[in-house]
Amino acid sequence: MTAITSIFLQYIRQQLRDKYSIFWNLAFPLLLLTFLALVFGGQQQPEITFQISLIPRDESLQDSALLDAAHYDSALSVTPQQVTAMRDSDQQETVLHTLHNIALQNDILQETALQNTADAALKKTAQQDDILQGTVLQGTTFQNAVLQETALLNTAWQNVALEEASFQDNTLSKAAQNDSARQDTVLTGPASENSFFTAGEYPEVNPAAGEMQEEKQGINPPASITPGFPGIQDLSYAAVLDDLFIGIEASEDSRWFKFHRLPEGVSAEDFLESEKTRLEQGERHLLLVIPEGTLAGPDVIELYHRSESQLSRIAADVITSILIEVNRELNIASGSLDRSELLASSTAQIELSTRQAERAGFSMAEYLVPGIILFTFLLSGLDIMVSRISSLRARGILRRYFATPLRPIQYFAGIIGYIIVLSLIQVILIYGWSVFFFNINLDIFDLRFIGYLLFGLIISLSFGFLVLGLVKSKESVGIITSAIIYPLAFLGGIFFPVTEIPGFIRFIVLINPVTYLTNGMRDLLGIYPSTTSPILNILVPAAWLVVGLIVSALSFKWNPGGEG
Amino acid sequence: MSRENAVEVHNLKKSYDSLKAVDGISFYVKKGQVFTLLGPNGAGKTTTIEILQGLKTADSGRLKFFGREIERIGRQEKEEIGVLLQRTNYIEKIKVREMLEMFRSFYNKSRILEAADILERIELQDKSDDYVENLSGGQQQRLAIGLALINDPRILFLDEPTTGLDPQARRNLWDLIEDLKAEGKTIFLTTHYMDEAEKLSDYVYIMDRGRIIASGSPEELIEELGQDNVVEFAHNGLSKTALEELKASYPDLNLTEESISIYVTSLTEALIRLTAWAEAGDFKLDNLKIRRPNLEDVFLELTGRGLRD
Repeated sequence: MTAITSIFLQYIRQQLRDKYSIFWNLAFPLLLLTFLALVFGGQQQPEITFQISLIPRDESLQDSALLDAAHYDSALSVTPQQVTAMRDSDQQETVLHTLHNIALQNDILQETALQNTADAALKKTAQQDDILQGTVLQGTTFQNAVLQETALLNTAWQNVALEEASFQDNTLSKAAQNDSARQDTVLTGPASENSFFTAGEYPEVNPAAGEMQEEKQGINPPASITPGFPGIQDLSYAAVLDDLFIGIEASEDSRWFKFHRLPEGVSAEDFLESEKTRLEQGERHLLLVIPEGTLAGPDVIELYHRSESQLSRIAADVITSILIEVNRELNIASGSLDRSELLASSTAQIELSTRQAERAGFSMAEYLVPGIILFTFLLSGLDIMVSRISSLRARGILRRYFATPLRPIQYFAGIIGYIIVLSLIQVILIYGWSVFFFNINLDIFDLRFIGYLLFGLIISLSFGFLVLGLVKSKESVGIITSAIIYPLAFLGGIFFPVTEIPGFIRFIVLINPVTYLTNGMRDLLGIYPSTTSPILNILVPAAWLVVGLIVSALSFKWNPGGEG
Repeated sequence: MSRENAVEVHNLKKSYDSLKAVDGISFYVKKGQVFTLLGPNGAGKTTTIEILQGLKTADSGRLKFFGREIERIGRQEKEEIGVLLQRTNYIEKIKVREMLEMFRSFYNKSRILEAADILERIELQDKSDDYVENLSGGQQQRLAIGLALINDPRILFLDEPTTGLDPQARRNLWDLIEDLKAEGKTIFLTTHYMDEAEKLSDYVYIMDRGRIIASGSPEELIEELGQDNVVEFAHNGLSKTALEELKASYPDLNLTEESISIYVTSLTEALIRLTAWAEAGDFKLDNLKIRRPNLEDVFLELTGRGLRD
C-alpha cells in the first residue's frame, strides 16, 4: 500500500467512524438545503424577466380610432378564453385581449417547450385555434362553448372529432364527446396534419451562430383585403404592436416581460445603438425594431437577440411565436386567408426541442442546489482540510509523520483525495435528496458542469491552502475560516442573488470568486443566467487559485516553532 | 573518527532569534551503544535530537551519518532512523494495527517489519483492534516506540521516552529499551532523569545551556566527583548561623529546596562531625540518608543547580 492510499483510507475511516463528521459533512448540507428551500419558498418560482426593447421606426400612434373599431369586430374573438368571456358576459371583446390571450398561449407554449415537447405544444395550440376559428366562422356561440370545454382537454382526437362535428350539428358534437369508442378510433389520425404554419410566413430562429446576430423576421401583412372588415389594413404596425405589448404588460403574466420604450428626445437610431450595446452586455434579451407603415404594405420586423444567451434565444422564440399569432389573426380578420388554406399549408419549423436544460422558471430548491454544493465545497476545502491539518500540525502529529520519509505532497494528495471523494458523495446526496423531496429537474451529469464543479472544488481547496499558509495558530484557524466562509458564501450568491447589493459590499461581491462560481454553475444548469461573463467565471476564480497556491507555497510550515 | 560511529556531530549550532539553543556541540555515537544527552529542560537536548531526527536544520556544523558526511538528515536517512518525539499525539478513531500499517506505508525500504511482529514486541497484541485513544499512557508510549521500530531502523532517537509515565510504565519501557540494546540497536536518548541515564546509558553527555559540560560513562562521571558518599538531610528549622558553621567545614555543600547534601570521602569522620554540630545547635538530623553519589550530584556539582530545578 502506498503512503497516499493509506492516508486517504485513514481519512475515509475517520469520516465513517466519527458521528460528528457524518452529521456535519453528510447530513448538515441536506438539512440546510431543506431548511432554506422551505423557508424561502418551496416550489415558488423566483422572478425572471425578459428584457425587451421596442424600437419604433414610426412614432405615430394616430390610428387608435381604427384600432378601437377593430376591437369591436366580433370576428376577432378567437381563443378559448375569449369564448368564455363571450359566453359569460356576452360582451364584445377587443383585439387587445385577443392579442393578450395569444401571449398567454405563448406562455404555455414556452413552458411546454421546456419540457421538451415543444412541437407537440405548438400543435396543441394550433389545433385549439383551428377548431375555435372554425366555429367562429360558423358564428355560433353555443358551439363555441362546447368546443371550448373540449378544447381545454387538449387532445388531438377531440379536435379532429370536433372539427368534423362542428360542421354538422350540436347533436353530433355531443355524440362525439360521449362515444369514447369512436373517439378512440379518431385518435389514430396523426396530429401533425393539423399544424397550420405556412413555410413562408414562419420565421426561423437560428440559435447556432456566435456573437450578436441580426435577424430579419417578416410579418406578412394581408395580401388582399376582403370587404366587410374595413380599416384593418390601415392600421400601423406601431399601433398594433404597441397595443399588443400594453396588453401583455397589463396581464397577470406581465412579470415575464419588461419592455423598454424609446425615451423622449432620443432618436430611434440612437436608441437602437444603445440598446444593442445593452444586449451585448446581457442587460437586454431582445430588441424589436418596429417598422414604419401600415399592415397594407409588406414590411419586416427586425429582431435582435444574442445567440450565446439562452434567455435571449428563448425571448426571441417567444416573441416570434407571438408575432406569428398576431400575423395569423390579422390575416384571418382581414379575410385574406380562409381556414382551409391555413390548414393546407402548415409546417412547424421552430426547433425548440433541443432546449432541454434551458428554462425560464425554476424552483427555490433548484436555485439552491448548486449553491449548497458549492457551500459544502467551501466547508470541505476550508473547514475540513484547514481544521484537520492545523490540528495535526499543532499537536505535532505532522511532525511525527515527516520524521518518516513521507513527503508533504503525498500527505496532501491523500487528504485531497479524501475530500474529492467526500465531495462526490455530498453532491450525489444533495442531488438525490433534492430530486426525491423537491422534485428538482437539473442535468447535473452534464460533462461541462462536472468539469466546472471540479474547478470549484479546486478553488475551495486553494482557499484552504491560503489560510493554512497564513494562519499559524490552531486557535485562530476556526475563527478565521468561519470569517472567510460565511462572507464568501453570503456575498457570493450561494443562498440568494447578489445582483442588487450596493456600495462597498458590492466590491466584495465582485472580487469574490464564489460569485463567479455560483453564476457559472447556475448558468451551466440553465437555472439562472450568469450576470457575469463566462470568461470571468473562469478567470476570477483561477486568479484566486494562483494567489492561493503561491502564498501557501511561500508560507506553509508543517512544523511550526519547537522547543529547545 | 571511526567507522564504528553511527552518528558524528561537530560544532553543531542552532539559534532561535537571540537564544542559542545549541551552542557548538560535538559528540559521536558508537554503533550498538546507548548514548544519552542528560540535562535540565531547556538545555538544548530536544533541539539537538530534532536535528538528528531530520525535523530541524542546524545553522552550522558538520554531520556524519554512518560514515557519510551529510548536510542534514534527509529522506534517505529517515528510512534508517526510528523516532520517538518528546510527546506523541495520535489522530482520533484509528486502531492500533491501522496506525502501524499506516506508518509502514510511509517507508520505501525493503527491510520493513510486519505490524504483528511489532505488536508482539511492544506487548500490545490483544489491543490491536482497539482505538489508540483508548490505550493507557504507557501503552500509547509503547505504541510510539513500536512506530519507531516499524522500519527496523539502524538507530533510534528517543526524546525523553519516560516523561509523564507512572513508575510501572517507566520500568516497562526501560526493559524494552534494554532489550533493543541487547539486540545491538544503536540508541540515542535524551532525558532529564538521572536514574534513567544511569540505568540505560553506555555513554552520557551532560548538556546545559546549549553546551556539553561533561561526558563519559555514568561510572566515570560519578568517579570524577572524587567522593565516595553523599550525606543528605532535611534542613527545615536550620538557623542561619548553624548553616554558616556547617559551610565552614564543608564549603562545597549543596543546598537544595528541602535538603542539604554533603560529599564526603571519609564517612565516619563526617558523621561524627555532623552529630556534634547538630547537638551543639540543637538541630535534628531529619531524614538523614547516606548514599552513593549519582549523576544528579554530578550535575549539581557542575552547575550548582539541580536537574529538575
